[in-house]
Amino acid sequence: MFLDNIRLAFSELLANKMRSLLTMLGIVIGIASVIAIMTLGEGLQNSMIDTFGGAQSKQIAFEVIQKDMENDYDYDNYDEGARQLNDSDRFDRSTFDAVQARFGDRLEGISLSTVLGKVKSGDESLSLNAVNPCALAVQGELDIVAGRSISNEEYEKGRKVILLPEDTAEAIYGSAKAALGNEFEGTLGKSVVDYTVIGVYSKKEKGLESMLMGASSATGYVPYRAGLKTDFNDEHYDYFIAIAKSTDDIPALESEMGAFLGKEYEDNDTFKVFTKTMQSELDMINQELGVYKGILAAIAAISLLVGGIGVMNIMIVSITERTREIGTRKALGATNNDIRGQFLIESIIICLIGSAIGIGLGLLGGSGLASLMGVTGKASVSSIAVSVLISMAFGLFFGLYPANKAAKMNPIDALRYE
Amino acid sequence: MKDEAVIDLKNIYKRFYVGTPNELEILHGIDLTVNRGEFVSIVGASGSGKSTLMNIIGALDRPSFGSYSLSGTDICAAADNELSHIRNRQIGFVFQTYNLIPRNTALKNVELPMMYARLNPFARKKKAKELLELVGMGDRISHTPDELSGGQKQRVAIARALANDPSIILADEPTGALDSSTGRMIMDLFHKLHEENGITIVLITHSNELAEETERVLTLMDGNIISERRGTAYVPGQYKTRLQ
Repeated sequence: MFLDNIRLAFSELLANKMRSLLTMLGIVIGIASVIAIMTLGEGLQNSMIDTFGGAQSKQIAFEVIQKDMENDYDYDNYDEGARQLNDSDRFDRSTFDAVQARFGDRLEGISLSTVLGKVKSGDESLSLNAVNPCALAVQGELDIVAGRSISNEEYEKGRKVILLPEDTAEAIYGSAKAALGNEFEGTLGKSVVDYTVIGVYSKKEKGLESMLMGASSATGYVPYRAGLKTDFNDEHYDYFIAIAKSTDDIPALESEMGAFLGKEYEDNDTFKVFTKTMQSELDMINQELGVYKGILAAIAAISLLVGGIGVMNIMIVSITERTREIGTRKALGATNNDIRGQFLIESIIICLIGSAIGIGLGLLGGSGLASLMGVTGKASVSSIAVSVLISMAFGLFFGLYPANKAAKMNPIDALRYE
Repeated sequence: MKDEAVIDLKNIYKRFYVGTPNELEILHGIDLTVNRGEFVSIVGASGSGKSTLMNIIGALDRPSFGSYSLSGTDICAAADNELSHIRNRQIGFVFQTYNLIPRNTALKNVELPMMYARLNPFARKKKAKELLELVGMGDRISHTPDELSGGQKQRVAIARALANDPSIILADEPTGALDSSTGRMIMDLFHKLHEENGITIVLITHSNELAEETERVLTLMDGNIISERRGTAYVPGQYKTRLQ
């Protein structure tokens, strides 16, 4: 009986191909847009996790800000009249030593980096960044294509060596290999700088990185101490980043280190330490993406609703057209439930076929859009399953009224219907 | 066997628009008995109440008053679902306009009542083929109604009416839409089913000529049966004689 109804539904749909297709169109468009949005959204979220996975996601940042500010962007509570930050308010070498001593076993390290500025070398310009090993690790995946990375000794001693990006190396020396061992000379502001090229890297731009962070300009990395004008011991910082060893430890580390550093500022009249983690930033962006995804999906759902109403409309027309057939079926012994079942299955099948086509188009469209945005679209099985279920529910919901109408027809009137 | 009543109508009244100023009484106390194996015709001009009577006999409608028992089942007390069941098992309808389901093959059309009887697909396909053979349509089983002539469609409809071995075949103007020679063939088929297969047939028609061929002719006028007699042209075994 059930199989008969399915067969029957298909033969009805095939008999009115054009009409069936147009009826399905609403469902197709609705499901396709829901799936496309889900695929794109999932892709964006995934690529975010991908981009900021690894060392980058384990960052905990510490910043000295005014006491009344709630976070580092809280300019509403920024007091312009307050006194300026001076070296005694800032972090320094002793801060790092204390942090290392207390939390060293739980930290990958403390990331120190300073952007020294733009170096001009001939026609080429390069952003020069002094980093310690930890800071280099959070720059993303650097692929050493020639030579080697900066060694521990070079970091310790502050040797004048440099890691060049591949493009710059090729532009100046012809190839990455040829660059090795050469002196890289340039002007940084009014001073002249001179570093030995020990390695050439290429950076794999991952997913959303360029979109969210802006295209990264060519950067040359030099050991932290080599880049400093003053002695490391005299440097002061209003901002530093610690890298946790384990992701799970981040919340605990954040609060413990915040409290530890905060003690120093208890007596400070104007400033305090503010902490934030990459993870919470990521969560926030993810949440925002989720909201956008939700709004778009809701709009798509409205088109699905309109499609469902279209199905109902056509089912009513079809039932009126087939009044005589319904009368005949009833005369031959079909019960009201038999008739109801027949038309319900028909409308469910319209919706299911529509959703199958919609899922196909949605996946294509979603991954197409995603690749335009430079990320890999990801279809989630759950969103597909939900679409199939929703379209079945739509078939049921919007088929119910027409099917009931058919079921309740009086067989005598239906048989005589012209 | 011969005198066992299949249809037993007693004092049947049918009124429409009951309780309104337009109240209309179509049947005024009909008594009618049809025995197993009989071939009965009901004749009457349009407006005589033929259709209303047919709807009641066919369990499509309930009388306003009176009692109707079909093969021992009380129709008046049956709920809608029971009426569906009774129509499915006890009555084989043959309509003037054939009422085959479009786009379904002859075979599928004949299977339809068996599908509603929840017979398994193999059994019903086998039975449908047999029935189509019986009505001489064995070579047209996969044709759809569009591909069949009027006479062929009516044969398929008759095969469909026989599907669940009903107590009666209820034929409403079965030759009304056919030319006379095709109509003749359909009448011969009814005679054959009646004589060779012992099928009980109630034929509703306005054609006196056809009615006279049946065992018993009931004449309906203004909602009353005004006469009941043996068909003047009825010859027992006429189907076989006609063949010769």
